[in-house]
Formats: sequence, C-alpha cells, structure tokens
Amino acid sequence: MSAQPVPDLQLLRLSKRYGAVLAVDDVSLDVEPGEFVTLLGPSGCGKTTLLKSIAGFLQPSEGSVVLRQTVINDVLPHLRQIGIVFQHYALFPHMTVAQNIGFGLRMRRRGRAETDRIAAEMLELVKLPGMGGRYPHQLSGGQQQRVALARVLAVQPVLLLLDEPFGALDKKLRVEMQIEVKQLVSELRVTTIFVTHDQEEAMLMSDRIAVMQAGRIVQCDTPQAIYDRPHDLFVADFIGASNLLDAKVLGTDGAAARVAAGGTELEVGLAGETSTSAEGVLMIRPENLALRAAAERGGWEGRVTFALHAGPTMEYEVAVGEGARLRVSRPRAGGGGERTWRIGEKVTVSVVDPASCRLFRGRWT
Amino acid sequence: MPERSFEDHGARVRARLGDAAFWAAIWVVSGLALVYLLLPTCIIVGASFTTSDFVVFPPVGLSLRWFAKLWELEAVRVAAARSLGIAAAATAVAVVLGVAAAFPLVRGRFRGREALNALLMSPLVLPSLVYGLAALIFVSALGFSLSITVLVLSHVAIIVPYVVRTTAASLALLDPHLEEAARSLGANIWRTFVHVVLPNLLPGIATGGAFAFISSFDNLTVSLFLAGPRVETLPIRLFSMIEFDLDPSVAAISTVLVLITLAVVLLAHRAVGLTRIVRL
Repeated sequence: MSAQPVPDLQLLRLSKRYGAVLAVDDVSLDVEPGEFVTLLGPSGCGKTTLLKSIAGFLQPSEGSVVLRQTVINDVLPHLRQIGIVFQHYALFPHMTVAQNIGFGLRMRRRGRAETDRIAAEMLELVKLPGMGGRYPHQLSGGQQQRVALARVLAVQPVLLLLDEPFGALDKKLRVEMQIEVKQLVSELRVTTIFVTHDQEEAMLMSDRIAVMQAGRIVQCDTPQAIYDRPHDLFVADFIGASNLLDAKVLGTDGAAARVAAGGTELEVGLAGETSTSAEGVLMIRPENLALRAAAERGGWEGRVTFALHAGPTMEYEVAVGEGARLRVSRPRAGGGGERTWRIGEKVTVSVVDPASCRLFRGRWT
Repeated sequence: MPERSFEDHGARVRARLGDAAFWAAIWVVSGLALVYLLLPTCIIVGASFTTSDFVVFPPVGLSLRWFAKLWELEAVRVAAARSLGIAAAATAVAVVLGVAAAFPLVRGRFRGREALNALLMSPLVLPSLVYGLAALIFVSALGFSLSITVLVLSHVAIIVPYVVRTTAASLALLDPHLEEAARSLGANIWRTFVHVVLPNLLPGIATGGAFAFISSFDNLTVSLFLAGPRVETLPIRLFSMIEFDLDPSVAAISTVLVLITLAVVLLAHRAVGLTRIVRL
C-alpha cells in the first residue's frame, strides 16, 4: 500500500443544481492536512456555492463531501467542526470581543474558567491582548478581522473556510492581514480553504490554487505552475497580466513550436492545452518583453503609447503592427539600469525568454 | 462657447434666494404640520387642569380636582386596570405571533410571499369598524360567548401587524452570515435564535410592541363590538362619559391616556436605545 497521507477534505464529483443552472459542475478536490487551497474565480463561478456546500449551508445535488474519511453530506452545519471567516466578519454585535471568541466554547458547554482562558489566549494569538471588553463596532476593520479569526480558531476546527475575508479592507491593510493570516494558519497547521476572486491574493497565500470557471475547476496547481503554465486561455487571461496575440503555427517540433504573431516569427515552448491546429493564441507575460531602440532588428517594431511609473516597475504599452498593443513591464531604471522610454518613442519589442511563452487553442480577437 | 453660469452675478444671487426660499418653505410647512398634530392634544391636556365645572380652554385657574375626582370614580379605575391588563396580554400574544410571522416573510423563499406580506398587514388597512363587526359575527358563528379572552384575541388580530412590520424590518437588516457564523461555531438552530438572532431583533420587537400596546390600550371600535356589557374598557368608559356628562374629568382621563402613551413610547425607546449602544 502507498504511504499517501489521508486527505482532510475530499470533494467527490460534487454538483449543485438550481433549476436548469449548474452552479457547481462535477467538482472533485482533495485537500491534504495543513494545506492552504484557494478557490479562485470570477463572481458567479460557483466558488461560494462550493464553500457553502462544504460548510453545510447548502445540500449538494450530487456527489459527496468527505471530511476526514466521513461523508458529511447530511450532517448539520453545527456538528461539522468547520470554522468560517466571512467577508464582513459577522461578529455578533451585541457581544463583547471576549464573548464573541468564547461563543463556540459556550455552545460546547465548556466551563467558564476554560472559556475565559482560551479567549485570552486567542486574543494574544491575534495580537489584540486586553481588547476582550470592547464591542465589535469599537474596532477597526483589521481588528474585527482578527477577532473573527480568533473566534473560529478558539474551537480548533478541523477545517477553516475563509470567504473573501480581505475584501472589505483597504489595500495596505489587506496585504498585511494576508501575510499575518497565512503565517498564523501555517503555524497552527490548520487545513484551510480560501475563496477569492483576487488572483494576486490567491498567488500570495496559497499552497495550491483551484481556478474555477462556470462551476468547474479548470486547473488546480501551485501558484507558480498556474502562472507559468496556465492550462488554457481562460486561466492565462485570468491569472496575472498577459499579452494575448492571435498566432499562426508554422511548425511544431516536440516541446517547441514556431509561430508568427503580429508580423514577427518566434519559437515558443509547448505546455498545457496547446493548439494543434494551424492557428492559436500566443501568451506573453509583460515582464517577458524587453524594449530596445528602434534601429535594432529582431522583434516587433512599434511606438510607445503610454508609460506609467508603477513603483518598482515601468509599465509600457506599445502599439505594434496591425493595431495590436503590447503591454511591457520593466524594472525601474536604478543606478546604471536600463533606460526608460517616453510616449511617442519608436522602439523594438523583443521576447526575453521564448520558452516561457505559451500557445493556446482558440482565437483571441 | 460653453455657458459659464458661475460668472453671472445676477444668476448667483437668484440661486441663493432660491435655496433660501426652499428651506423657508420646508420649515413653515413642517411647523404647521406639527402644530396641527399637537394643538388639539395640548388643548385637552390644558383643559384638564381647570377649576371650572365644564370643559374650557384656556383653563380657569389651576387645580388637580378633576384628577382627584377621577381617582374616586371606581368605574374608571376598574376600566383603566382592565384596559392595561388587556393591552399587556394582547401585546404578549402579538409579540410571539408577530416575531414568528416575520421570519418566513423576510427569510422565506416561496411563491406568494409578497401577497402574504400584504395580507398580514390587512388589519392595518381594513377599517377597524369592519373588522369589529366581522370578528363579532365570527365569534358568534363559532358559538363563543363574549369574554375578556375573546376581547384580548380580537385585539391581538389588529395589533399583530405592528410587531410583524417592525420585526421584519429589523430582520431584513440583520446579516444572515451572523446565523451561519453561529451555526458553524456549534450552535444548533434554537440556540442560534436565542443567543444571536433574538438579541439583535430586540429594538424592532420593542418598537412594534410599544405600538401594539398603545393601539390595544386606546382601541374603541373593536372593543365596542366585542367587549360585551360587563367588560368595560377605559376607552369605552371615556366614550360613555363624553356622551352623558361632559365634565372636565373627561379631559383628565385624556391627560392620563396621553401620559401612559408617552410612558410606553419612552420605555420602548429606552429599550431600543440600550440595545443600540452595542449595535454597529
């Protein structure tokens, strides 16, 4: 027998139907103990429906939810030992912070002394010591977020669900909380399922990302693999910024293909859902393009149509032949770095690493 | 050439006058509405302090003799106590029914929810005279004799909509995720209701309960049909006093009624206020 670890959570061919609409369509997923898995997709892709099925607020139409090798389809939510943190935290407004954190323990009829002790420990854990007497409305968004997390962790859930928990925070605080939550759940080794539509957030926090579209998981892999080797055009477009160009396939050779796009020919690597026909869509990440003076050959010739300072990088848009526009992202010129380009300048755009370009089935424009 | 209204001095002055006229109109009309609402009540309250033997405004002198006389009238005392008891009992029943009814109206997903909503509001829309008559026919068709219980239950029917309305409003504002959070933390559906839902509905329930209590307490039309000869409520007592001997004790009763109403409203407001401190 193999020594494979037993998954904490298994979704087996799960579907949820609303009348004629399939909100979740035949989804299977294994989540290992201590793993942080993100359900990522645009709104309406079924990720929240999936989450609610796991939590027990929705009954799946088909398939099963298996928690530590027990099918829990017909187990009521309060017996599932699954904790949830909601986007707006859902703290009980009529209870103090300490009462909120102690709620789950009171429902389990733990003693008062134990409840108070754990509540204090949890406040310590989420860096809010001494705040137990406050009411939720007296706290900032970030603090409410921490209390919501403490409230869930106090009952030591088997599984932690995070339902877009950072959506209500401003950018700077959001990034801080993302790192903090990630550190906390990895320290405690809590198996976590995280739902978001924000791909940056998903990249930053996840061990694995399940990209969802129209009720299905299109690709489930590590953030790096999803970014470098998107499975199809949808994932390529959804994850990160990319230049997508209609391309003609001139010939293939095992792991590489020769393509023509936007008036230039180049050799690209093959991976994922590769086009086998004569046409396809070429994906090039903006950071995989470089700009040189117009006189040099080998690439697309064009004119810079905008140049933005984005802090660590310069973001360019270059109009190349046939009305196509390429986004180019370059590290900002520091001492002795590459030069920056101004709007209107003529440039040559070249690919830095052709092997990391991808070719997909379909047409883009 | 674009229009540049900000450069035209005359237009700027006219605009300011327009703004001022708008606010003047709002203040005058709302002031008139307030006077129209409060003046009759002020007159009757004022008249209750008269020393004269007849209702007059402004009052002649200042005395509490009509309040003292009121206290001596046993029929009034009995009627007042009965009305308070009926209102309390009817409100208690209405709160239980109304809170329960608010749930499917807000959280339910079924066809005809809107129609049901309108139906539950119908006693507020239906003329109470019509309801009184209908209830009387209904009760006698069932073969019940008129009693305090019948009277309380008929009051319940007309005051339940207040509780439903205000509770439904509170419930609609309550984040459904609170209930899901409670469930996921291990609370079953009953404990979720008691520990999470109910405390957050209290402001709505208190407001609805206050309205319900007051409507029962000073209800005349339905009571006239269903009180029966020996069950006299305070409004009925007051009504017959006005009919037979219109002396200032009638004004004194009115003043007491106004005070009780105010007290109920303030109590409810206090309950709401206390709860609001801990609300978002």
